[in-house]
Amino acid sequence: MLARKMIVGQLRHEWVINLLLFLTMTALVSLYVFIQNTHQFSVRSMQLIMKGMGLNQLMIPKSQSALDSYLCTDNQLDFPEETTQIAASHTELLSKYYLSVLQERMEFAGHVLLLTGIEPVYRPDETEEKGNPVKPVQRETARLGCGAAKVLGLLAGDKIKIASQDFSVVKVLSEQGTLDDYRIFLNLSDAQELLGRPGKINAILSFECLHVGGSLESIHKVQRDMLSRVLPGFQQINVESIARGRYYARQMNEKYQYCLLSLVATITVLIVVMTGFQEVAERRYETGILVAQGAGYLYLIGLYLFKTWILALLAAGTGFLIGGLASILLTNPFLATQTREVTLLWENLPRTMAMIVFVATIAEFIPMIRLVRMDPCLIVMEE
Amino acid sequence: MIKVDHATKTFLKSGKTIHAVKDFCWRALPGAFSVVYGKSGSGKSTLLMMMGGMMTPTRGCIEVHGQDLYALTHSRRNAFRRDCVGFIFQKFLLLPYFTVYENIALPLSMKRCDLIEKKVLEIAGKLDLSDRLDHYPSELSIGQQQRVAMARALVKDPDIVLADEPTGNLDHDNRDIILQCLMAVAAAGKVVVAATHDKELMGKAHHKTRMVEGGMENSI
Repeated sequence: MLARKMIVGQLRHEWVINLLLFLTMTALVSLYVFIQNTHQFSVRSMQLIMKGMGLNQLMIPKSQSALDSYLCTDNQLDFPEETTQIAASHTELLSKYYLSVLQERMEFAGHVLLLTGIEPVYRPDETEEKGNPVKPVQRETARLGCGAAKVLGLLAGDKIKIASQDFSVVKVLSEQGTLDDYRIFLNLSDAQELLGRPGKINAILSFECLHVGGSLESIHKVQRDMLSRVLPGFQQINVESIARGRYYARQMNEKYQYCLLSLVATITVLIVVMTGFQEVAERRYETGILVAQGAGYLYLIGLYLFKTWILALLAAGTGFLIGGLASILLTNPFLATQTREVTLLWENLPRTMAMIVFVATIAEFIPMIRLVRMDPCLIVMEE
Repeated sequence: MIKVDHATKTFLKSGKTIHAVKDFCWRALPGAFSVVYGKSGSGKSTLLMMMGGMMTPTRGCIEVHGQDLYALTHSRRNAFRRDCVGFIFQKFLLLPYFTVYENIALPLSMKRCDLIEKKVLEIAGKLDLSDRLDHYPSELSIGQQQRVAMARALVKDPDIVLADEPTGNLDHDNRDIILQCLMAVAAAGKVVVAATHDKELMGKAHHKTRMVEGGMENSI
């Protein structure tokens, strides 16, 4: 009862200092929440950007040269399309977003193009939200690379005849600067029928996920070790530029956050320490009076800490809202992804409160040393 | 009874040793109004602080009811101050953000007493503060502030009252009120010790001791 009155009395009496302390902590919590929010969403949008750059893994039989796959030669080895399902069923593999591929060179009107049958294969833990970046091709339709469309003089909505079978061109892809520009993408089953290789594929593409952490090399090693157990006869070839780009994007986001948050925490501590020192000096008479009335130092420290905790919790709530709303208003247009909007992360509120209370407590430690070293006699005898 | 037995208190200031109290022997008896007087810096306040359990003597001991005060643990010494000692400071030292009522009630709250309101109203009535209970210290005159400090010291009915210049800067009427109050407390069998320059206060004392440079010059 008395302690509550004293804390409320102090909050009221020194309201200017307390308001400044509250505003400072609020500003810092806002910054923390803003960084935390935008970090989470910038990582997500960066992930999606890298995912949009394409699949970064090729799996082919060990006995085959990767060059045959790159050049799409007749030396490519077929294997059952169930192989992709087997890989996808092993969720311990770091690969995601599998794509079964059957590719072969074919001449169209005097031009060599790559007939490519594709079929996305989903892992059991993949959601619609985190869908495969390659969308399936419907039966009897074709998706053309821009180079293929150009040499054949075709546009979306036209028909293309392949081995006397008509396919509707549903889309002409934008320029990629890779072999994909000269591909004719069909549904995998259509391609298998046209090429007379039912149930067969000759490559698996996938996306190596970095969630295990560590260096990119160690992530590749984990994946290779797992693959050798799941598909012993297969080799993995990484599209290193895409994998590394994604790795760097993740690193940059995390390091940026850690640096900024360290800075924020340091500034918070310094401000609380400075105001704490000032408060201990200004409240010295109160200290002297209370010691004369029989108060122990634990009681006195408790009064300071409770008041700081009240301000810290109020600042945590206010800063959480300000930082969260600022992140929505300022960054939503460019950080929101197709699958996720920048929003208030209520689940982070308890952690934010605990964090600011912890930081305030640590920061109050130094002024509290000064408090317990003060001689109450000198205060009450002060002229 | 408070027994000061060869108490010495020294401070180190700028490398120099200052003897605030030197080998001081003295007794303050229950029922007596004792006064310690002397020039500023003679060690009166330091002696009061030592008797109140606020300042450990460098040498010697302070006994209260036969118990060496500084042989007690910190928490028991805190309890001694909370339960047995009422301090009156020259600068009043009222909490500025508490009302008169709350300032007077402070020692009772710390002691977790019952009937706080009754006791506060009673002492406020005695010290003519009943119509000032919801005022803040900044809204009071100097005399009223000193009476609030007096009420705060006496409200818990302590065995020992230690007053440091309790009548300094007070007008005649307020000085009378304080003096009568201290005399009444002493008459009730409590130990009352005041450090003062006030000749009127000295004139009323049962026991007067003059301090010079930390030592006792004479005691009557």
